[in-house]
Amino acid sequence: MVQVVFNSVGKDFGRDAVLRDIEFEVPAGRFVALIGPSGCGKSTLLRMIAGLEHIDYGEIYIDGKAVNDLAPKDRDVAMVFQNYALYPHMTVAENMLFTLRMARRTRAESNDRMWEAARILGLESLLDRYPRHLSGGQRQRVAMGRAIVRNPKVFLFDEPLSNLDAKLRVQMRAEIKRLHQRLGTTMIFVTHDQVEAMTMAEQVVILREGRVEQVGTPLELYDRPTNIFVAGFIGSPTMNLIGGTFEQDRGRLCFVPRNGTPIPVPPGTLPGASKVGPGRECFLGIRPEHISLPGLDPNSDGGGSFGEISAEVVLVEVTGLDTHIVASAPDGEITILIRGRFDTAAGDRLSFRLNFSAAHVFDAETGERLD
Amino acid sequence: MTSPSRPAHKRLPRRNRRKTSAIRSVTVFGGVVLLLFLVLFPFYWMVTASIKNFREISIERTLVPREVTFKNYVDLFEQTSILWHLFNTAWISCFVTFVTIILASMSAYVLTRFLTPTAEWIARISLYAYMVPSIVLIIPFYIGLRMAGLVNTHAGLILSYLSFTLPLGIWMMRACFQTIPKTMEEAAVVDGANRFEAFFLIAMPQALPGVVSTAIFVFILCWGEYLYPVVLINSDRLRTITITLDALTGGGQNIKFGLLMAASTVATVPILLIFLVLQKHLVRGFAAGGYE
Repeated sequence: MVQVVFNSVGKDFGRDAVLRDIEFEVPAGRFVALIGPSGCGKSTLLRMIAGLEHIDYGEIYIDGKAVNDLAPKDRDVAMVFQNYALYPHMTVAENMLFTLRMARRTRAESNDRMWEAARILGLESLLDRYPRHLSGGQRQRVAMGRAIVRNPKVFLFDEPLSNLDAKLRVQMRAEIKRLHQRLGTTMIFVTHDQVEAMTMAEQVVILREGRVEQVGTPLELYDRPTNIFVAGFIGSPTMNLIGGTFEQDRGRLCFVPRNGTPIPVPPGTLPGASKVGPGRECFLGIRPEHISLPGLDPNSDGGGSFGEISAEVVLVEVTGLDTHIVASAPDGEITILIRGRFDTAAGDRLSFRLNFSAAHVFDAETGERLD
Repeated sequence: MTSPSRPAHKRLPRRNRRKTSAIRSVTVFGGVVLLLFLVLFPFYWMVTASIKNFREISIERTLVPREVTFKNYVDLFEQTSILWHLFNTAWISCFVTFVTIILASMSAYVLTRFLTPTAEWIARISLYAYMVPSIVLIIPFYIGLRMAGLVNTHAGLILSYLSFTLPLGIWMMRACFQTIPKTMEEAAVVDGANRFEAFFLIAMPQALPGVVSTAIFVFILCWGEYLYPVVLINSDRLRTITITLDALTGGGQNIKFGLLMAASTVATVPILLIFLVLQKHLVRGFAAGGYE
């Protein structure tokens, strides 16, 4: 299995820097997701690994070997494109055999490998069809078949699920994950969908404006985001960010939201609060599931790590499994996620409990996490 | 999506609408018939005149031949070297078409896939080059070819044809390659193909409708080219079909209509056959490339 290493990798398009100082490692055999908003450079980075874009600065190592000057065919990577990029004038079988034909493999070996890939992906009955006769999901599978047939060192996926409908996307997500478990090959997956990244990847790399914001496991990113961007990008519904300051009120530390009344901070919670000087602007980050209603959450009653605010319900969204409540807080709106069903309507005034032990503090100026 | 409909108060009454629609259909149908007549009647006249005798062509001027004769064809093949001239035209047209397709596709591919900032300018220059009338270039061409010893040779003729077929070919093939997604060639490159393999095995098969329409255009241009052969070729053995047709007009003094129409029919048949065989690709090429 193969490790991929990025060493100060950079890329310019004309005068614009699209990637800067990219440094991280993809451990051998891992499934890594590159995620970020549109234009953050994630697809460019993937194309640089494949050899489709020049590496302007730094080096990329695949299996310990710098690949900067290697042609794509010599890097031993396979790529699945967003629009599948199947060859329309070739049948499914010919599409899958193309890479082996280029590698000058024998006919017998090529056919064996093609049948093996077709069996893994359930494509046996489609081998003599042309891509135009296939559904989106089938095309996706052929694109994966074309990639696995050559048994590459690294698989690259460039937003392969974005052209599929929601149901098929969930199905293909599971299929790709199963494929990774079966093959154990290093896979790098580009997506802008954080749910895809969280559910599929073992390691997630978040990019913004050409820079790496954070690298970690999905839960590390979810539980300990290093800055406001990561905190807001990961998680659905997104993390609530309440602007305010920390002040001492009658000997107790309080969080004072903008335009709001002080909320006492229970001792031993919010370690980041101590790093914020009095009057200094910061953001209190709290995920929707860490805000609860008194009496509803069995864990929330006896504990001493809760602050309380009162807010008016603006919107109620019911998913069947959960209830999302959007309420007007002193500094904008907050979202609350209630597990199960809860009967409320817009206009109701409710008291919400903030679980400070699961909350985060971010510097308002730098956006960095404080703790 | 629903199309925006006209407000109710602006709609015509149903009877009026039906009347307007009928008038429109009749006008369109009439226009199509007129157009077809204008296009097909000369063909009809050419073919029927070729099987009429001298009296019917020049004196009685019948619309439908009363007596069918193939004497004009017999005379044509006996008195002229039309078969040889047809062969000259065919091989020169085929060769120029082949060279144009190879060079124009490769150039157009480079213009769409690389050289992006300057490609637009190069493509425009090639179009302007095509738009320059042959009559303007003929004297410099003649001088250049004479210096190279290529006057009165097929090589010289081929070079002169390429001067206008290549710019047209590049422009048409460029429009074709612009419609083909780049990602397929990128996939091929990642799959282990080199640039040439990606071009010949992936891009070219997809450009086939564009190749066919470009080839037909170029072939027809070469087949019907008159000015360059009349200036550059002076021996009978090297002549092309357009010069044969010109010779049969007798300089306007003694036009042999029967022979001329038979020769015109013979000269048209290969083009018609090619068009009939390849029309499916040609239509697909128009649809895919959006050629102007």
